[in-house]
Amino acid sequence: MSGVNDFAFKMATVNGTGSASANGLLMQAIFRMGIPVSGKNIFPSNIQGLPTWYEIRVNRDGYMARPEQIDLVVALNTGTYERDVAAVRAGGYLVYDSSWPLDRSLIRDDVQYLGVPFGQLCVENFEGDRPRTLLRNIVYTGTLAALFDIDMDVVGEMLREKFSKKKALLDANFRAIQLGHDYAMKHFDCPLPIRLERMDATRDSIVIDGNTAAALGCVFAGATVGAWYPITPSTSLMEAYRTFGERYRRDPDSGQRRYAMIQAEDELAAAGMVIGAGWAGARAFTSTAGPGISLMEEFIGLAYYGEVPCVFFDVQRTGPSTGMPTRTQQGDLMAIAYASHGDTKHIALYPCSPAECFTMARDAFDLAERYQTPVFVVSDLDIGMNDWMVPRFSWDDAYVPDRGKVLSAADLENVKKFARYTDVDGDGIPYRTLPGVGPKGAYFTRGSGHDKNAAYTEDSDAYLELVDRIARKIQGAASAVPAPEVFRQEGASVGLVALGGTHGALREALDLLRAQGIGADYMRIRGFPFAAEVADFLNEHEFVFVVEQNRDAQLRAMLAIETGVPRDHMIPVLDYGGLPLTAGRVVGAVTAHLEGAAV
Amino acid sequence: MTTTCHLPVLDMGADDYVYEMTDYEGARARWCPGCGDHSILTAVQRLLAAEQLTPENTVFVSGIGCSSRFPHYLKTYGFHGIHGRALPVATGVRLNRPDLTVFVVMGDGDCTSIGAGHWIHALRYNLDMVVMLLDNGIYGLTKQQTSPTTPQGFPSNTQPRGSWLPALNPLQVALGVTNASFVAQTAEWAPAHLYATLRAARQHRGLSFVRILQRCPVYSSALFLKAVQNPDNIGMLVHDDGVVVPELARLYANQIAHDPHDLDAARRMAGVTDRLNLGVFYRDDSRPRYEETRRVPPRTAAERVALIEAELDRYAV
Repeated sequence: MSGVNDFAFKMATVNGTGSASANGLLMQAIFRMGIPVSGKNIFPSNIQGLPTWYEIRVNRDGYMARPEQIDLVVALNTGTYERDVAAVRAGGYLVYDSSWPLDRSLIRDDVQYLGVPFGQLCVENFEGDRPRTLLRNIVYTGTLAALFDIDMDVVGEMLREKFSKKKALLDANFRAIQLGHDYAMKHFDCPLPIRLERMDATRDSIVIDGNTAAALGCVFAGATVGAWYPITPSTSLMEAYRTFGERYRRDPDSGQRRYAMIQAEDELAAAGMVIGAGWAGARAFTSTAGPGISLMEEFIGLAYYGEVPCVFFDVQRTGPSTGMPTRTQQGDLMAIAYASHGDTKHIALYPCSPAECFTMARDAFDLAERYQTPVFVVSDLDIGMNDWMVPRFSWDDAYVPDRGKVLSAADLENVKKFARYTDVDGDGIPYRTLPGVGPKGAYFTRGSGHDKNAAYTEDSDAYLELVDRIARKIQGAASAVPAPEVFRQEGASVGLVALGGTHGALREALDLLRAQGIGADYMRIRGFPFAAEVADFLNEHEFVFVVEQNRDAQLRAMLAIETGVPRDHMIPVLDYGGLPLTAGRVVGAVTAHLEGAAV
Repeated sequence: MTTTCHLPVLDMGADDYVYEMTDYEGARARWCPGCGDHSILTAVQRLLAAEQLTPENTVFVSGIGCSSRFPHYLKTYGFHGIHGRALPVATGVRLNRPDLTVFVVMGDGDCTSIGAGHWIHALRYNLDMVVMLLDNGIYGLTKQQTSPTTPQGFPSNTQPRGSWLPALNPLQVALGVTNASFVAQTAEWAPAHLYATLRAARQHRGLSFVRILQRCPVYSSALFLKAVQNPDNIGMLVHDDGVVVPELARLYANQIAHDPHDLDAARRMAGVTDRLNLGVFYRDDSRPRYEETRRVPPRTAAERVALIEAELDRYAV
C-alpha cells in the first residue's frame, strides 16, 4: 500500500491565508525530484475565511486520479478539525498546530499525531499579523520537507527563483522553511515510512492547468478574438489568453495589439460578439461555464442555423442553477449536444487533460471553420483549474489552419452566381464569403427561415432542404472529430465507457480490476457526434458500464439516442458530488454489479 | 402562404465603381404602405451613395422586429440575428474587421427593452458604427403591445386602457451613459433632416446613436401627431458641429442654437416635454473607442511559432 513515492496528503486551511503558493511549492518540489505528482485544489466560492483543501498525490506508477485515501493531513483549520481528523486513513498521520491543546474528542487511537507549534514559531520569529499568517504556510512546508524527505536544495532553489527580486521576502521564507524543518527533525522520527526518493520520471513532462493550456492552444491555432463574461471556473482561460496575447500578439514597433479580448456585458453579448467576429472571418471564441451556456443558447441556435463558425469552451461546474461553482461535474453534456430550441446537434470535443485542452483548442477552430458551425470544447473544473502533470506539448510547425470553404476574390470571379447555402460538393457544407472580398459575394445571414440563396422563406420544401442538409453536415463531422481511444485487454469480459477528465481514474481502475481478476476493455469518447467506433464498442460487449459525473446518466442517454443501443445494455456508474472521480469508486461499482449479476 | 423574396447578387463591372442609389437596393421592401421605415431606407440608400460606400465592405446588422428587416432591402452584407442582440454581433464584426462600415438597425422593443443591456454597454464601448433606433413606440410585428417608449395613456393590447407607465426617454438614457459620444434625434417625416442627421452620424468617429421618430401606420399612426401637423411643435437644434438644414428653416420656425459639446445642455434639451427637439444633442469625438485596442496585419505563421515556442518551456518546472 502506501510507502516510498506512493502516498497522498492534504492541507486543510482557510482560504485567503496564502496557502495556495505553499501548496504549489510542495507539488513542484516533488515534480522536480522526478516523481510523478498531482494536486487537487478543493476550494470554496469565496474570497476569504472558508475552508479549503489541497490534496497532493505522489505516485511512482504515474496514477494521477484523486487519491482513494489520505495518509497524512496537515490540519490548520480549527473549523474543520473534526472532518480532517476523520479523513486520515487508519495508521496515518495528523500534523496540527500544537500552539494550542488539541481537544480530546479529536484523538483517534489509530492515528499518529505530529504537533508543531506553527503559530508560536511564527509569533516568535516574525513581525506583523499578515506575514505571520503567510509564513505559517512556509513553516509547514518545511515540516513536510523533513517528514517526506523532500530535497531541501530543490526547495531552496525554488524560493530563490520566486523571490529573486525581493531579498527581505527571500530571507523570511528561508527562515520559515528552516524553522519547520528543524522542528520536525528534532521532535519526530524523520523521514516517515511515507516518503520520497528521487526518480527520473518527470523529465518529459510539464505541470500545467487545462485553462492555461486551452488558451495556449487558441493562440497557436491563430484565434484573434476572445469575448467572454467572468465566471468560475473558466475565468483563467481568457485571462491566460490575454496574457499570451500581450506577450505574443503585440506589434513590437507600434505596440498595437493584433488580437482583441473583450469582456462583454453578459454571456449573451459574449456569444454574439464571437458570432459576429466569426462571421467576419476571425477565429473567435468564448469561455464560460454552465450558467453561461444557458444564457448563450439562443445565439448558439443562430450560429448553427446561420452556419457561422465559432468556438465555445465550457469549463463545467456543478449545476443546476448557480450550483456549486467551485466543484467539478460533467453536467452539461446534453445541454451542449443539443443546445438551443428547435432541432440542433453540435460538434463537441471532450478533453481528458490539459494536454488535450491544448490540442483540442486547435481541433475546435479547424472543425468550426470546416463545418461552419459552433464547436464546443467541454472541459471541467478539475481539468481547467488544477495543475496536472502531462507530457510536454509539441507542435507541428507544418500545421495549416483549416479555414474551410471560403471563396476568395478569384474564386468569386469564376462563380456564375454565388448562393450561400447550396450543397455544391454533396457533403452538406456550403461555401461562404467574407465581407469585402468581392461584389459578387455579398450575402445575407439570417436566423429566420431561409432557402439556399439565403432568401427569406416560409416554404416547407425550401426549409426542409436546408435543415436536412445541416443535419447531414453535422453527422459528417462524426468521422472528423477525434476518434475514441479504445484500450483492450486479452479476455476482457466487460467494457467501460467514459469521457473527459475521469480518464486517470478509469486507467487506474482497469489495473485494480485486473488485479482482482476482472479484465475490462475501456473506450474513452473524445468527440460528438459519435464516431462509428462508439456504437461498435457498445455492441461488441454483452453490456458496458458508462462512467460519468452527473446524476442523470447524460452520456448514457446520448449513446442510446445516437446509437440505438438499448439503455439496459449500459450500466450507469455515476459520481456527481462535485469532486474528481477516484478509481475506487469505479472498481466498487463494477465489482458490486458483477457480484449482483453472479448471484 | 409562401412568401419568398429573392436576394439579387451584386453584378457590377469591376471597373465601374461608382455607386448610384439604386446600386444599394436589395429585395423589394415589404413593410406596410405608409410605414416610416420606407423613408428611412431611402435616406440610408442616399447616404450610402453620397458616401460612396463599397457594398461588400458595408454591413447592416439587425435584431428582430419590423424594422429589423431593414438589411433585407439593401444590397450589402447583412446579418439578421436574434431579438435584442444586434449590438453584440455588430461589436464582434467591428472588433475583427475595423475596415468595414457597420450599421445597426433596431426597433424600440429590440433596443430599449430586450436589448437594453447591450444598448447601454455598446454606447460605452463606443465602437465606430452608426446605430439607428427606429422608434415607433409600439410592438408592430407581434401586433400592438406596449413598448418601453409607448407614451403614457397610449392604448395597446397589453394595456387597452392606456399604457400605465410614462415612456422611457431613449435620449436621456443614452446621454446618461458615460462615454456615449454621439446622440441625435430625427424624424421619418422630415426626410431632409433625417438624411443630414444620418450623414453627420456616419462621419462621426465612434458610436453614433440616432433615434429616428417614426409612425406605425397600423398601430401608432397618431404618435407625434401634434408635431407632424404643426411644425411649431418641433425645435430644430442647430449648430455648425451639429445638423443645419437651411431649406427647413422656413418650415420649422423654432431654430434653437445648441452647442452639441455641452452635455448639460444636451440633457436639458432631451428632457423637454412641450415640444420635440430634433438635431444633434451631443457629440464628443475625443471619447475612447474600444476597437482601438487593436490592430495591425498579423505576423506570419512561422514568426508566430518561433516567438511562442519558448512559452512551452515556461511550464517545464
